[in-house]
Amino acid sequence: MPDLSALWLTARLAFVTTAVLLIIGTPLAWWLAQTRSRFKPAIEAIIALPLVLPPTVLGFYLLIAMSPNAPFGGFWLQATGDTLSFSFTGLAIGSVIYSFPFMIQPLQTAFEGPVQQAMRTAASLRASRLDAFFSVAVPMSIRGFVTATVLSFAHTLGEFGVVLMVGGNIPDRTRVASIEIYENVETLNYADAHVLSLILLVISFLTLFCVFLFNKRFPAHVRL
Amino acid sequence: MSGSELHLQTRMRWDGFTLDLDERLPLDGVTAVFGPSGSGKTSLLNLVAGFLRPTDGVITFNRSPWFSTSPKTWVPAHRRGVGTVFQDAQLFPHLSVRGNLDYADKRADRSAPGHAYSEIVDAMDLTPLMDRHPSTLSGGEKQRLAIARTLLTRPKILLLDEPLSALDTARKGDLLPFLETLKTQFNLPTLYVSHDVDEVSRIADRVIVLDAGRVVARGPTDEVLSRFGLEAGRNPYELSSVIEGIVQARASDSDLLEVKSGDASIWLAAGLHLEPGTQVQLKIAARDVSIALERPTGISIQNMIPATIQQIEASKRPVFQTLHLEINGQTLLATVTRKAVSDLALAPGQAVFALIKSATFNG
Repeated sequence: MPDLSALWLTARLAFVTTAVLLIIGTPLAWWLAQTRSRFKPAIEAIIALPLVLPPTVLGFYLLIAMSPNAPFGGFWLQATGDTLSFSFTGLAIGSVIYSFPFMIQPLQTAFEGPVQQAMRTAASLRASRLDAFFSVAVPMSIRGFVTATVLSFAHTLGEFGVVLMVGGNIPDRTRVASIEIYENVETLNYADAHVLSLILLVISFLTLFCVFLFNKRFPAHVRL
Repeated sequence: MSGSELHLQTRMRWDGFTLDLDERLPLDGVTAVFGPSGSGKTSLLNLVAGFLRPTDGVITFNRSPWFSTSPKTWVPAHRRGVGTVFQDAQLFPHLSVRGNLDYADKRADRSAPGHAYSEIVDAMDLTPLMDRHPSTLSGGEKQRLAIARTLLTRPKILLLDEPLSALDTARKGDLLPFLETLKTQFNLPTLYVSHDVDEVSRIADRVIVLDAGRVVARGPTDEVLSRFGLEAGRNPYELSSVIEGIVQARASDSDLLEVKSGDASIWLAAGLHLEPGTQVQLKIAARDVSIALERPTGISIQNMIPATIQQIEASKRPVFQTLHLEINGQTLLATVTRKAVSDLALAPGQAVFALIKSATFNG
């Protein structure tokens, strides 16, 4: 029987990453959907970078930034008394950056066009911007939220390169399922690798299946 | 409400377009904002609604400032009490018909005078539709819902942005009576954006005409529309004029309806039931008006009205000329050939008979 603590750690990481991404991704996607700033293309390109960069490149830069000798890593060590690299927090920061486009892009698409016009309509019906955001924009973008949340979650489950670079391979602390599988294969423990791989496969399929099921059941919420 | 007004004074420039306004619009009745596409109608509406922020100028509603540069003032859209009905209704797709209405009702300005929920729903005939989803409604039903939803917020002023433009001709006819109900029953000051002469002459009390970002004409509807007809060569609409008159009692054996404008009678073959004394507007196409020097006899045309030539104007096409005829202080336009003008030796100041082949009713 494989070590299930790696699976538990993976789930925790995916939950934390998705929650953080929802909190910081929503306002950023909202800003991108309505801004006319000339910096918009540059910001969009930066957000999309993790899609094309080898995870090792991203992981390498993150590792350097998190090192106690670097300004950010040093500041963290002083503020919290703990190093960022090879810790769960460091892992979460890496995951958030790595999965950023998977949260931003579906949300940004959902917030554009009809939702922006609906915000005006809500204002003409005396709704303040915050009121209109929660009473009109969020319900109209519900499919975008579901897609963004599930993709971010599933993408974090499948992470390997960034996690290995930033977190290393410390049991119970940074050894997530994907690394555990790699470790098992390296040590020719194919039985455990099979079990973990199958669990990840089933979870990933079920999550994606739920998204498509949801999109099929609630088509009218995005189409006008 | 007498004396209260909406004052718009602003100059804006973007993408080569300049909007230059200094208008004081009285806050009663329906003011049509008329003009071709790209003339600035929608920008004007967006300025009033608070969707467009001017770079400079003043917007004052009934003495309270909505925008000014010094002192710096900006009242956001949701605090203005402006009810906008959009061209494409803009219903919330995640809410039912009832949900859309409740959304507005919950946010209504309770300090403002308003009408009961049920009264508004009845007036727009929405009772049978309450549990439907907006995507299942017809174009006319969507607009009625949008109007009712706006009324529920208890707006101080209503903006209607071409509410009929998304509808085909038959549906327009279905919705027009509701717009008239809106005017008579709810009686809110209204800005009505349109580029349709028929709609404007039927609904508006006064008109401002926009062209290339400037107001080129303003005044009572019949006056302005007649005058705007002068410049019809610059727009795609057929040259026509609007004459106001009063419906006369109908003789029991007559199929014709008599409308009197001053001393002149115009006879219409109208199946409509109209009370004697009703004030109506007649739209008369310039090409349906001919000229005679004396009252002709042995002619099938029923309507022969004494008129005076005010002005003779070149028309868009060189074969024709446009005559401006004065009938009891109102202007009637006639399109005649250049040859007819010279053959009959027509000149300004001359008394003639206007022969009107047909007139349409505008309410």
